[in-house]
Amino acid sequence: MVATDRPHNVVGTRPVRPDGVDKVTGRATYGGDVRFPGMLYGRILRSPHAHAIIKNIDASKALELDGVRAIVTNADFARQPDEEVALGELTANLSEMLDQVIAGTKALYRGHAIAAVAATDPHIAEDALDLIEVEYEVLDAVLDPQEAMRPGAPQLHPGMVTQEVGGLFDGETGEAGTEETNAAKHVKFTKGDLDTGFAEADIIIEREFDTGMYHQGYIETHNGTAMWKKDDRVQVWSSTQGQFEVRDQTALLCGLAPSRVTVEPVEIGGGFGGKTHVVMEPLAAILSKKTGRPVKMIMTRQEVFEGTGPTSGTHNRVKIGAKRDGTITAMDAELIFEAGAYPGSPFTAGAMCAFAPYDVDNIEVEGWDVVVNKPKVGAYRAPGAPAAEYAVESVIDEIAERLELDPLEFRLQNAAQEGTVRADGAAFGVIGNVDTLQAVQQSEHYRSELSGENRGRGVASGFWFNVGFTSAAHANVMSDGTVGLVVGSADIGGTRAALAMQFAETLGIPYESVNPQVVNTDAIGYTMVTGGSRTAFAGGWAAHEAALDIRRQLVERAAMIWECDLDAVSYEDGVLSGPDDQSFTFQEICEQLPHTGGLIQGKADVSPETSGPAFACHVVDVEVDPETGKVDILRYTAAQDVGTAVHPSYVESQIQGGVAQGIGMALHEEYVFDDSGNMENPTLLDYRMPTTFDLPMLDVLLVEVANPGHPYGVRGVGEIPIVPPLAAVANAIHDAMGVRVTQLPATPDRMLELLEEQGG
Amino acid sequence: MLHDFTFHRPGTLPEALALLDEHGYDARPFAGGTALVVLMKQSLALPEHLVSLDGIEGMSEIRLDGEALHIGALVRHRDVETSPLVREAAPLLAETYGRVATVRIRNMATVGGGLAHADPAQDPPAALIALGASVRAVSSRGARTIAVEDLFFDYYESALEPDEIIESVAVPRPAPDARSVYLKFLPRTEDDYATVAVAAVGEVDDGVCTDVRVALIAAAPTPVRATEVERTLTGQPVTAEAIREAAEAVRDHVDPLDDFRGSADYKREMAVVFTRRALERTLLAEDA
Amino acid sequence: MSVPISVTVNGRLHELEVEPRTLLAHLLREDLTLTGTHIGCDTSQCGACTVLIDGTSAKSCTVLAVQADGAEITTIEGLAQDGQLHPLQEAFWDEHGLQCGYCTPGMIMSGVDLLERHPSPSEAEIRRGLDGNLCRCTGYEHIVNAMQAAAGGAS
Repeated sequence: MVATDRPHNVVGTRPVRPDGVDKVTGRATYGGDVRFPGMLYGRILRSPHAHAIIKNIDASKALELDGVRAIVTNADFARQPDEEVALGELTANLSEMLDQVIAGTKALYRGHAIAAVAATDPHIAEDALDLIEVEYEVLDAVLDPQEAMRPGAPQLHPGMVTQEVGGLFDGETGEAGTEETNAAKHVKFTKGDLDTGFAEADIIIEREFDTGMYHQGYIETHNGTAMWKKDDRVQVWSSTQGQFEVRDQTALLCGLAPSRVTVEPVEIGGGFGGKTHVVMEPLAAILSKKTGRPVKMIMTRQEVFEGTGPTSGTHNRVKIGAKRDGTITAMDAELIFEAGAYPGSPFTAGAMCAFAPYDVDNIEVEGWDVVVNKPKVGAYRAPGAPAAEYAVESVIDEIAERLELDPLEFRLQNAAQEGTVRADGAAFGVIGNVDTLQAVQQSEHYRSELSGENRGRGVASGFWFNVGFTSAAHANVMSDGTVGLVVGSADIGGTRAALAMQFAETLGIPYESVNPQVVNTDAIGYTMVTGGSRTAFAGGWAAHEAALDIRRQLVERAAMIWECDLDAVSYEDGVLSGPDDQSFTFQEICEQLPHTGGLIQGKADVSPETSGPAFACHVVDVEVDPETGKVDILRYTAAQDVGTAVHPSYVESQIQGGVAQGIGMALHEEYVFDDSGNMENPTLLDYRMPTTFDLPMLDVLLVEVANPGHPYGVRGVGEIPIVPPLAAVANAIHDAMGVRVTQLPATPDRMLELLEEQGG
Repeated sequence: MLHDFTFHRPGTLPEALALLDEHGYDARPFAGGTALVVLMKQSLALPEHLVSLDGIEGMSEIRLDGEALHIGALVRHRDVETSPLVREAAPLLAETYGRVATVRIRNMATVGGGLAHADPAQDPPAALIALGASVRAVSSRGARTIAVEDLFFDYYESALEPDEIIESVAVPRPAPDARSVYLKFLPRTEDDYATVAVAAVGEVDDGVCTDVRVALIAAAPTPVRATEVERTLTGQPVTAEAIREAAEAVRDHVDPLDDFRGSADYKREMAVVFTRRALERTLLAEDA
Repeated sequence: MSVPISVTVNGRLHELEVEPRTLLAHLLREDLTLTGTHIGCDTSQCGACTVLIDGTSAKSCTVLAVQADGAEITTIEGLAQDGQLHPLQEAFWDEHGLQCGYCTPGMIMSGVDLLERHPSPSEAEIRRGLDGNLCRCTGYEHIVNAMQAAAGGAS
């Protein structure tokens, strides 16, 4: 059933958040805030080397320190199979996951966890780290993915060969290679014939681009607390986007069935994809098992930089051909993504997104997943898409310029629409690609004159899939006419409100009558991670279905009270109507429930196979100081197809937050490594994220192309806004100064070099 | 996590100096803590004794004494920034202190502590050197005056002995018609360390530069005074071309680090650009 | 070696023995269980740990607890009076000036200091005044709106 046919009462409004008071008064409980009697504090010893064999770990002196209760190393964990196994709805290599949590035979990056200590006081735990003696055999490190792919490069994983893979969730396909290499995985998508396409082209542009390794930069550092009880049940508190993922991964790494682990809900101080897998939770669990006491671990900011999962540094080549009339005839790309120490970069997603905004007959995209001696990369907001689409959108801009076409007209002429088949074979349903391009075209910003020297305007488009997957909802109807809505989705950015709004809409009751709660993994059905822009979409759908379940039961109850057929009862806008003009408001029927058979609950589990693909088009004005190379953002407007905006203020805020991070990628942020693989800027002092003063107001144009694959037309909105800013800024720089930025971030020193080389 | 240390809270200056004398290199004087606590957290400083100066009388005043401003070492950055007295007598100083980090740091950081920290990227020495300021350093051995220009030896190394603290800073009041500016270049984000910053104070009489002082921070292991730039301009008619040429001379004064805020060559170039811009703002302004 | 301090937190006097290496943020969070003061960076960039010391904002993760001896500290928990949210708390809630909420206590405490100095701040004054408090979720726009709303409501 589609619920979008009638005007909405709740969806589309801007109510305050249910967790607001707790968050503005400091009462909200984040992972680092939990504490228990007898609690121990854990700290982690980390590798000072980017690549080394761990020959011996001697913890005896540390164990003698007063207050130290236990030390764990990789040897304290059961061995895991070195192959992809089913885990939740996806797959994982548990052997690699374990070694990532705590190094096995080798340390593969500076900051790799080597041992963990639990002590009665955090200072003692810290002091104990100095007393653990580790014997390393230091190996040559390889940091650059192109170098890592060359024969003779230091080999991170002996025996590793290249595995051919399919689409994002298709797993392994095809043959594995035979030569030992750091190129862990390879993917190739082909549509049509490149040679034919380039032969038809009047203009062909080919360029190579580099992007830095970026961190998600959530303000709350990782934490994990575990209490292993005598009956081998484990309770975990963790700053995570996915408590079910933490449950499953912690359990399997600790040799337990997932049902033995309960992950408790705590507030999460930002994630952006970086908190979707276990980090310290299994270490806290085993330390707790060894000591019989709860163990809490909190990372420092340096540990977050060096020991969690940033995004891939990338090297991407893009070649595009077009006819003089503006028809794109062929698109070709090769993407090389750093995976960090273990395979698993978002190279496939990058390859699938790269050319997605365009309807072109001949496309080939290749991607490589290359291990290097850097932290294993994690997910970061539309993983893989920003770097891949930056390269593509830069070349698109250049062709439009050479053909003397308006960059938006050029994109419109070649825009993917409903029915367009992507290089990976998927066909689009109803999408808002053209609509976002037109929204920018018609915007006051794009139509305004930009005057002044060294100023320029750039545009760029972006695509991201968004996903569906499983969510559950449970709703307890109270006799006072309110409903407790119980979900399993970590609420990072306002999903309590977004789910409660869809629930209230379906039930026809005020938003304020719904009390949404995030509960532990035993108290609600399996719910996938808050990620992939899926929670408002799939979680909202589950809430809607749970509300429908309540409606069905209320109709039954009213029919029983009125002694009539079910058909004679209708439910609309929170009012039950029956024969003889009898009616109950929602409140009235709730009051009746206790003495007419009892209170009721609604529940739903959904696992939509559809999702709501997202498109965006951004326009930005910049000013470049030609003497320093510094780029300032003057004005920014983001148009995005958001489907139905459930809570427009939250949608705007998601877009503004994504744009700010994208601007960070374009201008400010980057991991800097020395030749040995030491990160030179592992603090927020030296890794610069945009501050209040670096950004102008960020204007948002909400384009609402309802998603027919969702009861309320919802599309994911959170990830796509980080995709266009990189190219939009680079294209604006070109417009201002006539130079093509092929390496991001475009720091002032790089910019100045570019201005001197290309002359402007 | 911090290492263990002893925290002393002497009630008077002589007591504080006696403690510093007793513990020598194992002790550090301590006031706002904004710099030292961060260094200690990163294990870059591991003093066994901290001697708190907080609460010592007579070191928290700003006063104008004839031709000089006297600023007690325990005066907070924020107080220099907002002091009507400083704003009137030496606006450059208020402006420069107002550019240090963020207001939450400025609320804690002290004038003496900031100087003793000797971080070459700290803003205030640029203005203090350009204004010809000096510090009064005291120890149980006595007192001495050190020009701020001579206060710094190397990265995080000052001319102060381990038993010595800064008691106050004296800033000669600039001539009434002198113009001044502080230009700070932040290549990444707004509360970053400067890549280079320049303070300039100058006087122009009938189109001729009668006096100019230029100092830079973050461009060398210590704050530097660009005497060659000053010498080239002083006594010369002020023109855009003269300023451009004079600014080139700053290359010989700076010795920047190659790092992720820019290569040494880039920073040297920026020193020239910002020196020129500072001189233009100081000497070429229409009403100058 | 512990040292005695007396510190007034949110109007209540505490006589405590602290290790000199205890940071004010840790004292508040661990000893006084005022966990609304958050820690995010260790090097005083993020501002999540901002509290008021004798009425002015400071980053409590780079202040030693012993430095607070004799001082009056206000944390986010001490802002609401007589069951009424502070206008800034109200404004951050009403104007959706938060997503994950982790930076929020520090933002609000910095905002209190800012509005003390500039009762009717311009957008630029707000941005300058909040510089040093990082938010990674919102792009700052709704935070600026919340500050303006609070200033408007207060005037």
